Amino acid sequence: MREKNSKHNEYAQKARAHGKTFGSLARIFNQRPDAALVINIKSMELEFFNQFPGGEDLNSDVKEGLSKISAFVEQITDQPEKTVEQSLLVDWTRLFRGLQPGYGPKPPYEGVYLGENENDFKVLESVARFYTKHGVTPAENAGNRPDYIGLELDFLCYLCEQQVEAWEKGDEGQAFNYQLAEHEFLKDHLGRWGAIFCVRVTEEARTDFYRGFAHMTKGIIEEMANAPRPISINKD
Amino acid sequence: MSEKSLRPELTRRDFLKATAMTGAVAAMGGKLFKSTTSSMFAKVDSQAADGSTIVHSYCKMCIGPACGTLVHVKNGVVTQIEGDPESLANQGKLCPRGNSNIYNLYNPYRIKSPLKRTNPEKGMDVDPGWVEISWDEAMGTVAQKLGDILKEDPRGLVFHLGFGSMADDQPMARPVFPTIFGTPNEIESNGPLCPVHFGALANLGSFTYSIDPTRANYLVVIGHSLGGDFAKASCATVLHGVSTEALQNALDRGMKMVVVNPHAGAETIRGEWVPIIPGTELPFIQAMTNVILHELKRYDEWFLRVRTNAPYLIGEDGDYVRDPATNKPLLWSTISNKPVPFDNPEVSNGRLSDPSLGAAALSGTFDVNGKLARPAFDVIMDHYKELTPEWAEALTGIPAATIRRITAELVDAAQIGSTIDINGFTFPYRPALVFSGRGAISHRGGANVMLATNVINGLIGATDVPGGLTGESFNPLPEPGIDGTVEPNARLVPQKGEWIRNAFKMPPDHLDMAEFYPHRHCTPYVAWRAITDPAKYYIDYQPKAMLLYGANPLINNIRADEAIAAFKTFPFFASISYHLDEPSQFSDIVLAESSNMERLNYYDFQGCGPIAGKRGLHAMNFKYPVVNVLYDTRDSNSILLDLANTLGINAPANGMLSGMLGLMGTPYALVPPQKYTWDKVVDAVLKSRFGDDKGIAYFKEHGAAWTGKWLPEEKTYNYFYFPDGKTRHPIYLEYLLGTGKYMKDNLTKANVTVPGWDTDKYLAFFGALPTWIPHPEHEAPKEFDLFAVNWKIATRTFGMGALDELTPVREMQQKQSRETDSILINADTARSKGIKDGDKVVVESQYGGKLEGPVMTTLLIHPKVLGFAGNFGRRGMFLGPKAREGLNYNQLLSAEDGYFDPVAGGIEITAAVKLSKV
Ligand code: SF4
Repeated sequence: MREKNSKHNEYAQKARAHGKTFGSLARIFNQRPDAALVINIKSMELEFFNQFPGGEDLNSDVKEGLSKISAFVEQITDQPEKTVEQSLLVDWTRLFRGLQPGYGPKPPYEGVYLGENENDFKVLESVARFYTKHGVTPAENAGNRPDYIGLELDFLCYLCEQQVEAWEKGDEGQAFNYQLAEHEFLKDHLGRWGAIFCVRVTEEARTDFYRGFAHMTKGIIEEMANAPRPISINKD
Repeated sequence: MSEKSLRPELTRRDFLKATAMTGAVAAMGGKLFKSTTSSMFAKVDSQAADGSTIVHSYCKMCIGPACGTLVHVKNGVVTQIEGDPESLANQGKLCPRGNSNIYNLYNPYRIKSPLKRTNPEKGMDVDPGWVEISWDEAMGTVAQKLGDILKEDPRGLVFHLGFGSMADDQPMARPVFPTIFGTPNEIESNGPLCPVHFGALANLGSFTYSIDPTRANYLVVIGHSLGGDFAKASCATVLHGVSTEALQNALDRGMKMVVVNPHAGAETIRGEWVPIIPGTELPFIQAMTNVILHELKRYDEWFLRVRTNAPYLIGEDGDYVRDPATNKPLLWSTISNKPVPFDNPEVSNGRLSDPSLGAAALSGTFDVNGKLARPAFDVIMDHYKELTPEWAEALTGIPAATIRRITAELVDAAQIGSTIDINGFTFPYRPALVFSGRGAISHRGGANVMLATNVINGLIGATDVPGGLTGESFNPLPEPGIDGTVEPNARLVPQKGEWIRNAFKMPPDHLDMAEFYPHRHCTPYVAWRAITDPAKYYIDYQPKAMLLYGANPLINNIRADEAIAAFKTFPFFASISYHLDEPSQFSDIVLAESSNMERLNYYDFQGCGPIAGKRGLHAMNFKYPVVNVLYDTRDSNSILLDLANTLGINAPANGMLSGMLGLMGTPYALVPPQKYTWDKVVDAVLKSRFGDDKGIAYFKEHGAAWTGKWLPEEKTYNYFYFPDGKTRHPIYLEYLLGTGKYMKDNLTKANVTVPGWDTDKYLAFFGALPTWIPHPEHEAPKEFDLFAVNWKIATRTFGMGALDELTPVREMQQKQSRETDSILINADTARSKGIKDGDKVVVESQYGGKLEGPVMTTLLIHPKVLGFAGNFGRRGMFLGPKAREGLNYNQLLSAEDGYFDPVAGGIEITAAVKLSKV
């Protein structure tokens, strides 16, 4: 462990931003849309969407996502909150809950996308093994298979939060371990299937809200999964 | 050591781009959610967690879930299931359904949380606009709707159950909840295609028949798949007591098996296959009986005289002749040469050790109080006189010589007069039997087939004795009733004051018309019609809500259109569902059911048939969630007990549960006014059995709670409990004739007819002896020149646990054989019709149903028959392509009024069909 220095602060900030990003996306998949969410969506001003850079300075999927969500905010301006809530809830249930094979996209579980058939619990077990290797397991109230997209994103969020904590303590070794885990998890797991699922969501979504978020999730997963492997701070 | 960045250096542009990207998403998250921190994980010890554990559990993919399992869990994920070698019931084995439990758990299309429909329009292909809701909202809605009905008129609730809800470890569904709610409309969808219980109850007092593979040397099995097709890894009640291994052992031991069936199933490899024209099983059995009575004249006279009602005197009206003073049935004593009540020692003192005792006449005509009377046996002799093998040959297609040979072999094998000593107890020994299964009894007139089976086994003395046809559990079931004969349970005999469950009443209360079909196992198809056309069925109230659990009449019964029309009439429809099958598609609220391995429960099996050569296991299995419950789901016992608590009907629920679960009179009896959770109930049961310190927590820590003990073998035959002349198995079913008279009187008095039936035709099925009445398929127009049949296959028996939709299971079926997606036809028949293997054909039934599919030619099917393996071809458009593959055989059938069995309620399992090339 080294003394905390200014570089550490910068790294912690970056990790915090990553964590918030994964955490925000995880919430979309893990949390049923409710009245509070609708109020928050409705309160978004169009200026909010204008604050982000345009052109090539922003990932094209993220950009597309922002534009879809901005369109959604406009579409619902005059709609009663209850109506909006219901249309979001119907869409969320159909897109992310895997109710029936012919109803919405294939369910967002890694085993479904990467297994030999739709139920490959070996993939599921490898995801669970990854979690336990890093000292966590889905909480009893997680309410989902360990390889659910929302849990995988939440796990990435957790890894980033651990990085922040390590940086704040000046524990570079620990920070590196978590950073590497984030990279490997993206490379070996979520990065291999998340974007494929998101494309299906963009095709099947009935609201621009979830279509937008699917674009954003796709953009984030692809960019992050393609990022170069981190190198230890101590390596010569 | 030079310091390097933890991230390889990015260009400034890349860096800005990445920052903008994460910034945008994080900002969005910040606007939308209170918090975006990780919230789904709990800390574990990364060293310890990597190890794997083995959890004891039990299977539940058939209705007698006796098989103990060992579930391998790695990192919180189930990776393997195997049979528990220490579980006495299955001794390490699992059938294909048992192995599929892992898919049942991880099936990605399970329902994960309660659902509510937002689209009020209902239909098979209508998107219900599902939204996930909380348990509070779901249960609150259901409780409010049911509460209103409970106050107003409990008949308004239809509680519809099926095989999915039917295991002996789900007592809240059956019978507790519908009983305490007070609705007469507990309607079952399981059974119309296998109304097996009437005959076993009537003759043995047992819910089903069971064969005795440990001792039988000769088995004639008619219309039933044993062994490979049925595939039981263990045996428990209600499954004819035959595990695949037990059958295998019997065959290895030298048992001869004659399979009388239009289709040669897996078991025929080891037996003799006798192809038969579908629906003619009754003439076949009757002709065998004719050979015994009139040609061989070899029957078990002692058994008939002492152990059956063959000597009961029958009057010219067909009823027992009764003692005017006591109303007891009379027998003719050959000692005092006069009629005596059945319990007079002269006729009731029969002993195996002294065949001269029990001196009742079996033949003759006697004057009893000025009226002529004959022993039932004499009536039986006459009844069968004309039913010769030649008569049967013309109907069954089985050569008369074959019928004679099989009958002679059966009678030889029965060793009439022999005894066997089992642990010092002497039994009659009759190692031969006739067994009739689903294909034989699911007909209009199916009850007659069961009666005929009872008669022929009674004639050779093979009823409830070693080697013969026995009941399915080992208890003192055949206790004699007031007439001195084995009596059925409350499901039967409405005309007797003490059994009033289905007494005649106008207007009827039961939507399934139990008032008109008092012996029926279940008649859901009538209920659907009564709901949509109440006037025709004399129904004077409107059903208000449907609570459906584990039933799929849209696939497993017939005339889905009628069920759908009825479903659409319910103002409120809720289901307890593990997956969104066709009926759940109509729900307003779906209560999400957990999967088999996520439940806390136990299963008591009092009486398990032979396993690998041993008989009589009494045992108990226990299970708790093998991994964290994956989603927001609950088991049915918990859901229904919770609902009972909310509705304020917990007191009767607790009383019923205490009685059923053996808690009554123990310190663990449930206190009526209290509100229990299902966990507490299971905990009480465990403690009552194992001791105060051995509840759920103990067994979670210490592993399995299964126990098992083998009964002493002599106690595995019910003869043990009522030996010699202490009970009688009725082979002349006087009370069925009585039901006919009772119905005739009541119909006349009420001036009504049974909806859709000609009264005389209806009454013709209520006779004391089996009568051949041709089935609709035998009277179809000539152009329908073939018959369609189907049979169970091992991977789909009972269709529980979403088997059709589990892609790996379906793929395995398809890999194993193209049978499951084909129409099987005899190769010679195909040739004569110019059809080749693989050709696409359309099959049209006499009732209008059509199926299209490829032909598979085979010699393993009767030349006049088209065969369909299993029952596939699911209908819901959201079920996915795999589930929709294959053929839904039931669409060829009909259950019109007048076309099903008015006694047992079975529908015609076969239909006359015609074939054309596409
Ligand atoms: S026989 Fe098969 S389905 Fe039935 S309990 Fe045993 S393993 Fe399960």
